[in-house]
Amino acid sequence: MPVRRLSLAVLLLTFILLASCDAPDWHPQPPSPGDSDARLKIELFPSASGSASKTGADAALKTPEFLAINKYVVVESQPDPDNSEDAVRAAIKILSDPQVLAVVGHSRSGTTRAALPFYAQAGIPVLMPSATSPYALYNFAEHEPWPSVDRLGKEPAYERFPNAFRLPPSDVPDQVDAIRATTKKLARTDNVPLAKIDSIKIKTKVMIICETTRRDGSDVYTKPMCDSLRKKNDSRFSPLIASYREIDLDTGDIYGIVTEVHAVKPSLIILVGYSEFARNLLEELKERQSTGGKMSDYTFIASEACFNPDLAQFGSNIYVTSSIDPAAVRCDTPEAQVLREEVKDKERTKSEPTEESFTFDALLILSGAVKDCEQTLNRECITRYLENNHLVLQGACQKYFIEKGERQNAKYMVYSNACNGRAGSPLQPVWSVEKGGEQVHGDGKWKCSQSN
Amino acid sequence: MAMASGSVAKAINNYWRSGIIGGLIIIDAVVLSLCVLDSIRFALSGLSYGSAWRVAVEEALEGRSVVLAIAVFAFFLFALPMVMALLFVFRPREHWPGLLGGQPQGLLSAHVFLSFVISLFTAAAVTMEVLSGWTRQQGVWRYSFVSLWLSAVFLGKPAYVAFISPIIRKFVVRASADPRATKLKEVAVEVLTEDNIERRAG
Repeated sequence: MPVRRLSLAVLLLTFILLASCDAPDWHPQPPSPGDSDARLKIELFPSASGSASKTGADAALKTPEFLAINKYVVVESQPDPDNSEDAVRAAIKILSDPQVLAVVGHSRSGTTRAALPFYAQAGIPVLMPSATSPYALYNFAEHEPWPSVDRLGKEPAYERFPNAFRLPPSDVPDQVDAIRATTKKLARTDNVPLAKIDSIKIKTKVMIICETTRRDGSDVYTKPMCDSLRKKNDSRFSPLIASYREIDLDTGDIYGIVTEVHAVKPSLIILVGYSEFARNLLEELKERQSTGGKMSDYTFIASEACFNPDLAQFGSNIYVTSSIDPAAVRCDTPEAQVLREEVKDKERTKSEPTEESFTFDALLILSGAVKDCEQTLNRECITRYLENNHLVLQGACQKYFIEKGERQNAKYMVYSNACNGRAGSPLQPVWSVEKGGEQVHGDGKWKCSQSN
Repeated sequence: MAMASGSVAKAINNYWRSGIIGGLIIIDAVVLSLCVLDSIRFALSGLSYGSAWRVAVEEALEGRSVVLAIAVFAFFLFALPMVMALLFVFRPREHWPGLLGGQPQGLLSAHVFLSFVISLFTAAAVTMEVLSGWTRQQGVWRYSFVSLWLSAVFLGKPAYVAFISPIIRKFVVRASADPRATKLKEVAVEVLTEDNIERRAG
């Protein structure tokens, strides 16, 4: 009998202890019909490194499209995590909030890749304004060997997250084509007979530096591009590669890379990584100028994540490939005007909007979706709208053609600080590269505005 | 006093045991069918049913849905047999069909197990609703996915407050004063028919 009482007491105590752990915020009651303040949330993750996407979002909130739906939705800005673990934590929090209607973010491919499976579990539509890695959109086991890019979306094990839609084009092949085209143009192998390439490669050595730090998810962004640059054979590009170096900042150091740069003496350095890494590398190179080459000896071709005006100040020519197309905001629509005014007001150093445009357009597209889904206002309807209107998702100036989550109708821009062969001007668009990388055009508005 | 509380416990125990009948398993089966139906509806809505279970487990570790699951388990384990016993007031057990009123061996263990499974489904149903997000239909906000079983559970809340809780309270108060003279049947009839109020009013 005492044993029975003891087990009963233990059972009751367990119940009480478990009950005390209850979290009341779980499963909140939907608002009552008379609650006029009830609004759904669009979660926004503006880039932690700059205020551009926040400016884009602020501008979008002033557009007639958003004002027409702001009685239903509110945009909630969240700090953007800079590593995968924090991104997962943020995603789990969002997943358990029934008030969330959609997500705009994250700013990095690695964090987007980490968070997307959680959003997919709750069917939350995600508009990706800046994650460009091909891996970001697809489902696969992260801790197993990664599939090659060309298997993504084609095999059942690597299906696309059906709730994710990317506004910029994918890095592979689009950004890689732009990097190749820029390299060929700078090395002048783009329009010479193939027989002359051997003589060019002696003078113009190309070194590829690929930052693959796992901790912050850099590898998700850089690895597909680096693999494609290195492995895909291009008779006007591949022979130029004199050296290829990967670096995980948790295990390797920048000092070693600079030593290698001094040994190889490349005239063109392709830098695939984030701007923090690029800045550290340029600082180290500048510091050790006396033992190696001068900064003006190097020309850098950097991937989009290095789009940072600071990098233009180190004395080297910098070319940054970017999906940010100034034409996306140069039109005369009232929406584009709102964005231009917001940028003029908040970012006085800028002549026109750049990376603000994708966040701005993402919120414009979502405004259209919410308007269309006014009757039901749920995630399923928003996702269906994005799927059904994938040919003509309307941004400020351009229509986005997004098929199976991937942007189809975009060109890449090349921004540079070089003017008449010398570094010094701020980063501005100089060329545009058409899809496929074969055609490179000069930007009509580009003027060589040497500042020193 | 110790003897009195012992008698109360014994009376409750006997009363509870008398309500453990075959009908409970039928109720369990009906509820489980409802849970399965919910699961199928959720899977057909395009959301991942496996994910709902996984999230439910993860959230339960954070303490979410735990109280509700315990309440449902406790209701099936303790309250439901008592409700059954209460029904004997209106129709004695001997007159019930064998399948419903029988007390075969292993019945209690089977009922405990099924109650546990139902409580797990309840936690999963909460997660399914949360994962579906809110929607607004004809001006009314609700969850995009509404679990039939969970609706029944939440409907049961007022029933518990209005009927079952007053019976238990009244029984405990009376039994601690006079355990021998207090019969749960009488208390239940009194509460459900508001007999004493009518008598006093008359």
